[in-house]
Amino acid sequence: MSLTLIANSLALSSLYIMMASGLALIYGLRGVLNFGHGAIYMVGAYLGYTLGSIMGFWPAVFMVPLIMGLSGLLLEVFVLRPLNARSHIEVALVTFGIGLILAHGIIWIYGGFPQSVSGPAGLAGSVDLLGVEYPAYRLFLIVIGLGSVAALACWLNFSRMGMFVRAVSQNPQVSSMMGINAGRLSLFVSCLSTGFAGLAGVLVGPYLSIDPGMDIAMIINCMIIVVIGGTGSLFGAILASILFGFVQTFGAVHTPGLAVLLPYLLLICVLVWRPQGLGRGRAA
Amino acid sequence: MMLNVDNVSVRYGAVMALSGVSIEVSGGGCLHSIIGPNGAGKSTLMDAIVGKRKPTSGRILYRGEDITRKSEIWRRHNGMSRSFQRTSIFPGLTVREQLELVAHKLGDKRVDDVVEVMDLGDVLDVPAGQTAYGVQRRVDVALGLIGNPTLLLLDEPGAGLSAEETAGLFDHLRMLVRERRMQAVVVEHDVDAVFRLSDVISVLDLGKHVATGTPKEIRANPAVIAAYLGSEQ
Amino acid sequence: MTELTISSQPLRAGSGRLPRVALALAVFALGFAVPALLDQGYLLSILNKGLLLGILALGIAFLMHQCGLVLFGIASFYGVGAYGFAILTETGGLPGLPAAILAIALCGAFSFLVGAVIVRTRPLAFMMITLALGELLRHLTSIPELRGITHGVDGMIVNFQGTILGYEVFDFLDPAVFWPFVWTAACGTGLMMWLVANSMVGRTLRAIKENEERMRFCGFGTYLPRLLAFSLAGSIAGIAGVLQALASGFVSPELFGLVTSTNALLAAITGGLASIAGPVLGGVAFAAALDEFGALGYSQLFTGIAVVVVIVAMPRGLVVTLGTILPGLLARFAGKGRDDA
Repeated sequence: MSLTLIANSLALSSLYIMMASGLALIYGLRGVLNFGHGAIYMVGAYLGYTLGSIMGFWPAVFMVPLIMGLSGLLLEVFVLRPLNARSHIEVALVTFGIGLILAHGIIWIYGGFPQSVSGPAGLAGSVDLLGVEYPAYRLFLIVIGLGSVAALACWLNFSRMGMFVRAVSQNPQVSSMMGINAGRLSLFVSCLSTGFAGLAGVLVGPYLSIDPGMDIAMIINCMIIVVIGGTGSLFGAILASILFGFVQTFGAVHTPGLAVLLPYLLLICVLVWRPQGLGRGRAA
Repeated sequence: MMLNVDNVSVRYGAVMALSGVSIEVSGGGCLHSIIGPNGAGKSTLMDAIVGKRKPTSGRILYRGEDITRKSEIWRRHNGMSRSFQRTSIFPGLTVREQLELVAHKLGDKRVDDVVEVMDLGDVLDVPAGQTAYGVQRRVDVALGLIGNPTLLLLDEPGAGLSAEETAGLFDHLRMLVRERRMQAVVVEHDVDAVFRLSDVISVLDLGKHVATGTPKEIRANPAVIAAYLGSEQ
Repeated sequence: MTELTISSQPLRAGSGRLPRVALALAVFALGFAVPALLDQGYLLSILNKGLLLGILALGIAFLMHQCGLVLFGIASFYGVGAYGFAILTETGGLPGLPAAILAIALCGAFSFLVGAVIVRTRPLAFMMITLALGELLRHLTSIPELRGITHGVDGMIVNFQGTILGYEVFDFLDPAVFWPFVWTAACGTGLMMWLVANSMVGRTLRAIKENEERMRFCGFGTYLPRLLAFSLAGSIAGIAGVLQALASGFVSPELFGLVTSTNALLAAITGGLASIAGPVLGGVAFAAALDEFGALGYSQLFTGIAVVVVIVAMPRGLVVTLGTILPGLLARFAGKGRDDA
């Protein structure tokens, strides 16, 4: 169990944590699984690539999450609110359709080939991590990933709005009777979710390359993580992301042929043992 | 002895909803009511009797047989049925369709009987979800009456009904009990109706059995007055 | 919370719009004349694909309407049928017809086993497990370790000895030969669905969908009926899988993929869930459109737009929506004609 392997697992987990948290937030608040979440991530990645080549890495890292966060407004206003009365499955399918349209747009603009994205010069080399040489960028990814989610957790637990989000997530009907402004809350959460997807997208470029299939790969993994983590539970999503990152990384090293099967086996095992997932979220 | 609740306790996590409750329900045409303040454990007792919740300890004896382990499906096929505090019917099916569905399962083709007793003749072909709440409550009870059960368990049948409708419902029940020799165990908050129409009353408080007796006996029982009636008008 | 508004149709004894028996038989008989009517093999092969998709869609629609379960990963069973057939004929050396029947039976057994475990889970967990199962099988049939049986990512060519009802393996690649098989399968499946839906089993399933707890308190077991419905849906997918293997002469891991599952789900929703004709027509329409747009490289865009449009504008499905709009339009035209004169 080497330090490098652990750090690599954490890096992958950080990516998943950022993505899964966003997905879990909307799912917890509205009961809707945003199937287009992977496509938003992909848009963020390609946007980061383009902005990065124009302005450099650091401006892109600040701008992309902001831009993608604002697109959460579009999600909220044009998809989630009009379809509020429809069943969760129908809304999820609509987000899936929109995701497909977005993905098509990306391929149409950029072509169907993978792109490599160069990271910032400042993080290009290796760092001494407890006696082992470790890529600086991955360390940066771990710090940002875990840090941003820690900030999210603090917000959820210590702020007023965060408390409302938790309340609505656990019991939607009662919360609406308590006069919480559900609309404003939902808008904020949607923007937060897409913002996180954008952040993950802009950061993943120098870590793994970006390619036109990344939306599907990511959304499947994210959904598995969110479902394992439990309906809308942020803590569960974090736990599941870490578990997932470690299983994938260790699996790739120790059982390379069968590594691709592990996420699905993990999902099936967890759900058969504990159908509600690991964490504790909304009752439905 | 039709039903014997033998020293039943039910625990939810850290809370003891019922502690060592023992109640005997005799057979053959008796309206046995269960009353008690909120949180007394009345619904939990119903759940335990009807098989929705397994007692943490104790037994349920039905006609002398220990049925604690038997499923609610078995119980329904063997003469025990219940109605629900929160109306639980099939909104998309018409009244006729759902009654006939259950009748078919229980091997008793006649629903006209039940329809007449519960006065549902006018709404037979209306989807149950589109009927008035009072009608839905009657459908809920009607579903429990199919197949001529010998032990009818009713959890707050008057919930959500006006005093008049509740009185009407209880009159129906009393008639069924007298004429069909059914046994009814009823949880109810409407104390007037309970005292007017019951043959036997059991009182629960904070998960414990306080007293069982005729309405007159219960009215005079000091323990009951202290726990429950003392706070009433 | 996850109840589909799509499928809360009023529950009538005849679920959906079904032509009377004579009309149904006439339609069935006429169907066999289709290859003669369509000269082009291209149109016929689209119809074949459409009916295959329609059979899958029927399975999905059945499970959704009767049980409220979303079988998102129907490709799992579709692929098991297809690969089952390919492996039984190649590694097993079985002749065509026994292999086909055995493959369907194995698929049925497989769906029974899977259903036994998952039919009681929460709706979302159910959806995700079926999806994950499909992806799992897709990877399993791709990995090099199992190349000996599955031929990995290259896929397997389907080849069997002997004949099925007089046709040899390569005959099935001709759309005109394949058509009667897929037409019979589609009609047979539709009939089976209709019979189950209008039987006691169907009524029981729909009542369980409405209020499972009350059903138990009315003396109904709720596990076994749903398990049987699930196994039926899985078996239907298996039938489609075997047919697919025959029609294309080839099986590949993509049969298990997300795209297959999604297309079937969308075909079902497009056509409409509450009827028998709906999913089949949806399958044909969807296959035709996919072929059209796919050739131009727009299949992803088309699918995306189709989903959004159908769900937002036509939640009851194309067939029902057209069924409600068309009579009105026709009446207006007829009335207008008379007014003008």
